Amino acid sequence: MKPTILYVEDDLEIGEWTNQFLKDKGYEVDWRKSGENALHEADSYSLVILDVMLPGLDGFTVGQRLKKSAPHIPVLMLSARSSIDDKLQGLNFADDYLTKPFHPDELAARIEILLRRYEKEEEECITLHHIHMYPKQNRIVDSRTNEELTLTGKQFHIFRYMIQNANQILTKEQIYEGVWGDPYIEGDKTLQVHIRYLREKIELDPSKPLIIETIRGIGYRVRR
Amino acid sequence: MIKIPFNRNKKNTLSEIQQPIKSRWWKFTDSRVRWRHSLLVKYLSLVVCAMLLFFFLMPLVTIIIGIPMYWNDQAKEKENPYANGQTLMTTWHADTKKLKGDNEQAIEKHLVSWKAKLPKATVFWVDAKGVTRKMLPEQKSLPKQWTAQDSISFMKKSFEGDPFTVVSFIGGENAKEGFVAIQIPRKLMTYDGQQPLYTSEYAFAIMMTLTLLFVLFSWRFFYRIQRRLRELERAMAMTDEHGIPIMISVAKEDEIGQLQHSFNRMISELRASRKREQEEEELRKQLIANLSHDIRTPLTTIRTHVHTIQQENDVLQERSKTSLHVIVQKCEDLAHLVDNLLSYTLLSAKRYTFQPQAVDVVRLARESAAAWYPMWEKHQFEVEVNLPSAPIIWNVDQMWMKRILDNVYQNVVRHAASGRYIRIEMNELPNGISELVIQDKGPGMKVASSNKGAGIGLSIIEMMLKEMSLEQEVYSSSSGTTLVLTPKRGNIKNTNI
Repeated sequence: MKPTILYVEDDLEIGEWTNQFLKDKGYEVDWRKSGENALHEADSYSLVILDVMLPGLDGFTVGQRLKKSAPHIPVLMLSARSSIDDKLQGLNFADDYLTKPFHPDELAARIEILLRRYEKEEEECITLHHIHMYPKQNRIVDSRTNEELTLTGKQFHIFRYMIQNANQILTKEQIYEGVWGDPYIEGDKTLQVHIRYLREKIELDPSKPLIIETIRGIGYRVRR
Repeated sequence: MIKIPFNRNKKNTLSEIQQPIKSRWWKFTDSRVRWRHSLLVKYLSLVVCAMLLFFFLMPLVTIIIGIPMYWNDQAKEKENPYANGQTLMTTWHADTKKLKGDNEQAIEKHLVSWKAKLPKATVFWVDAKGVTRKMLPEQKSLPKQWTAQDSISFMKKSFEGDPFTVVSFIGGENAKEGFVAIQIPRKLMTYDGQQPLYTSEYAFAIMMTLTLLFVLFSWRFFYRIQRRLRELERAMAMTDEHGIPIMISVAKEDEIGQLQHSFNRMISELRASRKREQEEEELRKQLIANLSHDIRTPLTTIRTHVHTIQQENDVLQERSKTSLHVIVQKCEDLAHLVDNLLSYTLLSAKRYTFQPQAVDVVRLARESAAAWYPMWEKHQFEVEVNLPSAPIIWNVDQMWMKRILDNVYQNVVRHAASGRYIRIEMNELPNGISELVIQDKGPGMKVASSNKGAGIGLSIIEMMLKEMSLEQEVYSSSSGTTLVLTPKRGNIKNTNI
């Protein structure tokens, strides 16, 4: 099933173009020129893209109401308002804030990231190199031998977090706080230890990891 | 050309306005202050009161205290049997006259009875032959046998002397039968508890009290003025969140009260002007925000449509591709310029949200590098990140710091991409100062970049750094640029608190 995007944009030229662009990218797009009537049926969308300067209710208000009624739907602000104050106001409730003019590929990438993060129904199977991951069943299988790899709870948690945030570089603080839910304590080596064991299980050669990539001095990345 | 008289006229008008209202000495209070509220009048009345006390109250008090004392003395004197010399003398003379010189017993009885009546008096009898016959009590100083010499010297000594002496001849003036005398010490005759009405001690004590009272009241008067002035001064120093002093309540309508009223008027004017200023600022901010929005919107249209054309990669000539690339580049530059213009306006007007706090810069630098890494990867940069594992805390605004780093990284990608190298490092120096180093191997900053209009961006960064007490050092050569950020002393101090 194609993800459906609610796109609110009053500028016809930009709206028309973006509408087409998103459709080309394989999304179902519902383009509205004002936010008022879009509020009620928000539940049926996978993602909402909002402009700020709209006739009638402004994008911030629409977004806030939307988040209140349907917090499980990601909201991406796409606005020509670029001051930090505006961004902060937007990011108070929205999941992302992209300023115009935007690089179309960046928009696509950000939509992709948000959709993945909010995915209601996780994909059946994720393939990374020789690994098949079945998130629903909490199962990881080595595709060559069809053998199941047993991970500890934390290892699986870390791995799934990294896959959810695939293609992004995650610092160890981000991973720690994402998985454990506690603020990262300085000098804590727990995460490194977990990742080392995780690699020993999933990588072909743990000293030359392919799945969990180390970005030296910064963090880790899983590429899909 | 401007005419000089015009100028002079203008100046005259101005100086007239600035000239203070002429004060006239005979109008001793400000016309706005009611005379009974005036401090001057108050102090003058204090002085007048003191004078009245000196010249009227002091005698009055003395009399009030003196009269009962006088009556008291009078009463005491009445009870004193020695007091009235005249009465005593007459009675003594009358008693003596009745006596006969040969009736010695009667004379003795007379003496004894007087002695009993006035025990402190001295009585004696000298007979016709000049022999002292009886003394009550015994007196050594009196001669046993009186000669004419003795009598005269006695009389001389006794006349108006102490003791008070009454001499009377027995049987009358001409009987020549001797005499009796009574002597009373003069101090018994007057009541010595009695004080004169105006003794110097009294006057001095009352004067001192009055002077002290005057000094005390004067001190209180000036102390109150001083206290109110000090309160006013304190109120002026105290400011609310907008940096404007707080209004003060006016309790008294005197000269200081007027000063307080003026102060309050000044504050309300200040408030009004601040409000006006904020409104103007808000308007300017809105205007520039709208302008920025209105420029960015068509830029977006251009940008997206260029993207559409760029998708037709196969049919495009190489030259067209370059043109499209330039268009995209310029769109982005323009968007940035507008963005910077907005930021600069806000920042220079100090209308930017600035929330300095203790921020772990290591983490911030790492996260910022994580965000930029894909870009560097795309430009095939060699990325070297040497960040310590322990946090380094600076007192900065997180958003500003991010923006500064974004700006630096962006400049590296734009102007130093040819070096294909970036190094991000944080060091803690032995002297306790930490530094953030960002190095590239680009052509250096001296080489004119194709991108103009970066000046405003740099100004913004400079302003932000200054506001956060950070110091920026740039070492640039043809083999690369190194940027070092260090917190200034003020920043460190803040962090330690």
